[in-house]
Amino acid sequence: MQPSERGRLDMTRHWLNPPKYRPVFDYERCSRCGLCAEACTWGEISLKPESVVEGKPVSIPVANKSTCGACHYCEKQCPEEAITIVETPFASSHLYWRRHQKNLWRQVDAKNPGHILLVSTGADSDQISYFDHLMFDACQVTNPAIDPLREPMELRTFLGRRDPGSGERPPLLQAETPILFSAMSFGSVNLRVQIAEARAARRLGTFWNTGEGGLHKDLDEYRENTIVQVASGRFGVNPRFFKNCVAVEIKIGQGAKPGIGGHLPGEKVTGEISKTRMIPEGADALSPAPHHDVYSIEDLRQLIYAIKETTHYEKPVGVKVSAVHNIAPIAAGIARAGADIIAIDGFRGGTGAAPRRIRQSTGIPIELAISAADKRLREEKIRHHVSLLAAGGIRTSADVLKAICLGADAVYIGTAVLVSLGCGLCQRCYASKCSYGITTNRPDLVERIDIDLATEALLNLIQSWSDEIKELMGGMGINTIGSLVGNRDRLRGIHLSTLEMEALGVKQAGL
Amino acid sequence: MGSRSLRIRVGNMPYRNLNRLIEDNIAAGVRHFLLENVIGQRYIGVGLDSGIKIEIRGIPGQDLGVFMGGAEIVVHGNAQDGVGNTMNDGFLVIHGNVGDIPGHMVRNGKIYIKGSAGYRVGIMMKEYQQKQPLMIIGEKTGDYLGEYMAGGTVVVLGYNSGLDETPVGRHTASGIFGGKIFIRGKISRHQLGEGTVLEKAGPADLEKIIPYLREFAGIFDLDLNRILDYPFSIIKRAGERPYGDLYVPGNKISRNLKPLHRNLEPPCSSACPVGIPNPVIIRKLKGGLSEEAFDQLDDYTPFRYSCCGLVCPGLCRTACTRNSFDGPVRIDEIARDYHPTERVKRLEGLKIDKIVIIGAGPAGLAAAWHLARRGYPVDVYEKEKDLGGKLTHNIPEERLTRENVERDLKRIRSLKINFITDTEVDKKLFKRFREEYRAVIIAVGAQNPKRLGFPGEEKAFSSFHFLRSLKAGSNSYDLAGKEVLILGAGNVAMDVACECHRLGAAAVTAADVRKPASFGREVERARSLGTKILFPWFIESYRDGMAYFKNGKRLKADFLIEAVGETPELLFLSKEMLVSGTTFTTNIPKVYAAGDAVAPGLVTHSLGMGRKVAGIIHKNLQGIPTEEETPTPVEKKRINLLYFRERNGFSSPLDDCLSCGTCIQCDICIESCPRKAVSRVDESFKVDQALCSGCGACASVCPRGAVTMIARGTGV
Repeated sequence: MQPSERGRLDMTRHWLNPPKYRPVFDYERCSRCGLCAEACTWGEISLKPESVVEGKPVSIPVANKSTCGACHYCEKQCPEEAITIVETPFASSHLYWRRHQKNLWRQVDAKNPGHILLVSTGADSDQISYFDHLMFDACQVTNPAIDPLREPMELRTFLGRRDPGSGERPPLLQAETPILFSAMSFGSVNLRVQIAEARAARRLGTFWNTGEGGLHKDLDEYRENTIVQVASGRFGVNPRFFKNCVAVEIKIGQGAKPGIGGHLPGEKVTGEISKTRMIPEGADALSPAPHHDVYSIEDLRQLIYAIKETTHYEKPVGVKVSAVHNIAPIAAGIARAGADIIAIDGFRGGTGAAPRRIRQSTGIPIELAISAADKRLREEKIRHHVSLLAAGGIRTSADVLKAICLGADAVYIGTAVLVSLGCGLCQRCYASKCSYGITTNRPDLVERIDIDLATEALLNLIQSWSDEIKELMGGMGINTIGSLVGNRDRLRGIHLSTLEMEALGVKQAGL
Repeated sequence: MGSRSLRIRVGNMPYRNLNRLIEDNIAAGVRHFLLENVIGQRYIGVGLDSGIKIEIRGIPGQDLGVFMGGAEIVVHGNAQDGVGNTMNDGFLVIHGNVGDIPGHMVRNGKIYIKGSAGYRVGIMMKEYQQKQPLMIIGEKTGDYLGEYMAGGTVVVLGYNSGLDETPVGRHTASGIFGGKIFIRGKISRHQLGEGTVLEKAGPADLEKIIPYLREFAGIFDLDLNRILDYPFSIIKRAGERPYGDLYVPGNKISRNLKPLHRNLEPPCSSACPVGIPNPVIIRKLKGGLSEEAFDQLDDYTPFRYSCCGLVCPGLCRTACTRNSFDGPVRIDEIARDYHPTERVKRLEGLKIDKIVIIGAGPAGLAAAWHLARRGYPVDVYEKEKDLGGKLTHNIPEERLTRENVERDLKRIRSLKINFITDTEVDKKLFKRFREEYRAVIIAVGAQNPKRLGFPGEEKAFSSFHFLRSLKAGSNSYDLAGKEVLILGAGNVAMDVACECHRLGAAAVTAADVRKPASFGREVERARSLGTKILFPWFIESYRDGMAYFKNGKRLKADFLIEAVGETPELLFLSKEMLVSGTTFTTNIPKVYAAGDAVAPGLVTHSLGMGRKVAGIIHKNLQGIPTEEETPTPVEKKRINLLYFRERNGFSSPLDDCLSCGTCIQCDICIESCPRKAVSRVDESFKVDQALCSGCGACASVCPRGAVTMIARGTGV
């Protein structure tokens, strides 16, 4: 290399983030088709001419070693299976700082404005997962197990207020399986994803949730399976919205970002999103941190009944809150405020965009929150006033059932929906560049989602989890999901402290 | 059925019953309701559509008109909290005061409040297309007015307040990101939240709200003139996107690069002192646009035939990328085959600034050419009879005939430059130049042969005089069978060597003190004729036909020629001249210098300096900033040799040019873009920034290095 071509030392590179992941290409298998470069929306894969045939370059893919976030889309799309994503952990001698150096550089980079680190999906930190420390009971000798293939197993779950005292029959939601699709707004995901959710919900007899971005008119026809969400920004809240739903959920908080509002950047407020949210194109869509008409439990009651008034008491009204320290009294307050359903979102709950610090370190695990809320509602003898939905970090059918045993009537799943559609969990939904076409509304990328295939995947997801839940229940000798709600006897804890087990209400395994 | 009215005495009726009663009667055709004795019933008018009117006597409860879809409600008295909460459309008229959060999240419609409102008025009001909500408050509001406001208009009148009172509280418009707040009365900066702008409302602003103020005054029987008598302030968000820069991606989501189609300087142009953009010229010639090509060439050099075509050793060819496989583009051949017609296009109109040039050699003529094309009257003084300097007088006839120089000189003469030949410039004349002309260019060349200073040197000939007298037709040198030693082995020495061979010398040796500076055709030709080149040989003395060198060796030399360069003769100057190598200005005001008088070099160096000095004088005289955009040379590694093949024997030299750094619209970038983000309209490329991922494939596949990845947010 000539001396003149040598670079110079440059302070702006002090903040460079060495890439952790990169695609590695097996050039012996590679057919030079270039599909991977088309697949990668992040600019990681470039093309470099290797030879020229009739004046046209035949190019090999090369990694830019710059933006790979291990979404694995190129790897999956490569027709020759010639791509592997490899991880190069950041070599830092300082174990305590290792995870944080790169984040700090991103924050202080003198060239780039902005200072709050933004991330997507639920907390990826390695705090304990209580689900992994809970084991189910099973029947052996002294009581018979049930074979779910031979005997009917009941997964049907009713959600809402059961109030035998008043003589009224409050509206109930009838879910054929205790798994609901969690709120993911139009804007954070695209319409194709929402249509797939709505179709799957209809076929399965369960429910999907619009999230706070309003209800797109193409989804009106799925009203029997639609839960609409009223959040602090009140986007798209209008008469059509209240009409075309089966329940209304007031979103007070979200597990990924308890206590803070939302911010859909103006760049993402385009066309249909603008129309559905009823805000101008290009305007930042800010959701205030609180509802400014809800500063107390009494105010919440007022909002709940405003919604009941406008929906003529025909639709259950739910309240979704983040799992926070004093969730038990909060849940009791919400129940007394007249809510029919309380959804509690644990700190692992997903998000389209949240400050990293909030996501990683605010809120509590759903296992503790749901157990505390269930226990408190039972103590106050108002458990039957509400149904409890557990959300935030449900990864498997076993997690579903453990949440139910800890006190939930049913669960919300969000990230599992994304993963079902292929998501590689690169945590960059906020960029609106999702290579899988899930968390983007860019017309060229949305096309990567086929609604029919997506629907099929979601059907498979719920179907297989439901079948697994039946297997688990059969093993426990229980044939109806209702008898497992809050049934902590069927759980035992391993590797947990006495206090943790007390909070969960479970016994130590082996005792 | 028509519009029917219904009077309801509300009393202790629960709100749920009241609202169902209203709805049932709407279903039965009632359109107008008079509610009497209302004592705090909530949610009156919830979700009601347009066409319905409700009048209320008494005090309605909280969330009056919540989620309303277009109905009209008139309250003859006060109202409580949450008036119009999340209202989609409608018209609320309150003949009294209201509690907190009126107009919360209102999306459309009007709310008129005669009296005062509590805290948090108009929080996050929104607007969307034709939906432009409006709220007017007749008296005062509490703190947090218009917090989070996203659209619409709030007006606070302070109708009964004194003019020095403020009608609003503190933290007004905190976090506003859309819409406008009009305040009639006093307001000061400390009452406002962050990210706000406080201005005086102009007539154009007021014009938009006056119809509503008139309606408001009419409904509540107020004096519109009194309202308008006092100036309004207006509060808006600061900047376009007050929260646009709040966050930074927590993971890398973009390379922050974008492609820029930008022609870079090809190696031949970088090497050429004149800077001729060969790829562009060649492409035009190839495309049959020879007139355009010639016009462009004229912007660079008037000696296309004699210099580029014949005498220039070809710095361009030495730098040519094609050297990496089958030899350079034969630019000299192209220059000879495609030389400009006689037509010379002037670039600009006539100017009055007269310029004088001393010396009609390559540098002087080039400067004269470029200045004359820009319309300057130019006088050129030359001490010889003929124009052309070294081209005419020194370069051997074998390499450059007078007729060939004449081809170029003819075109220069057609510019009506005033040539004063046979005139030596002396101090007196030079003084006159400095008085009469706007600029003087010294381009006298170098005519004083340098001497090395060794014993016996007086017997040596100078190359300058040797070549000049031969070119003039002298045959006084009898070299037949003699052994010639040339001191120096530069290109001039090679010319001398060739001439010696032509005159029949038995042996010609060139001895230099360093690695010879000669290159290109001259040295090849001299070697092919048998010239020996020795270095590093330092001469010590010359006596008795024998040259002695410092390394102890000696050489027989019947004839000794010194070819070690010349220095300029500047007798007309009274002090030593100092020249800036970049601006060509001298230590004498108004005087510039160019050519060998500045630094000895090739003819093409002189032409380059002549062009540059003409450009600088033009800019100085016209007051154009002189800092020049230095072209960025294309990096060698960016030129992708894979695309190019060895030439076949019959190709035209025009086909050889790889067009380094210069786009030929081959569209490989368009075809290779994985995201179809690149498109072309005529000669310009467009990159769809939304689709472009910054992967760099376009830059990497470009055969010529004409696509550069640059940082987003920079460039065009």
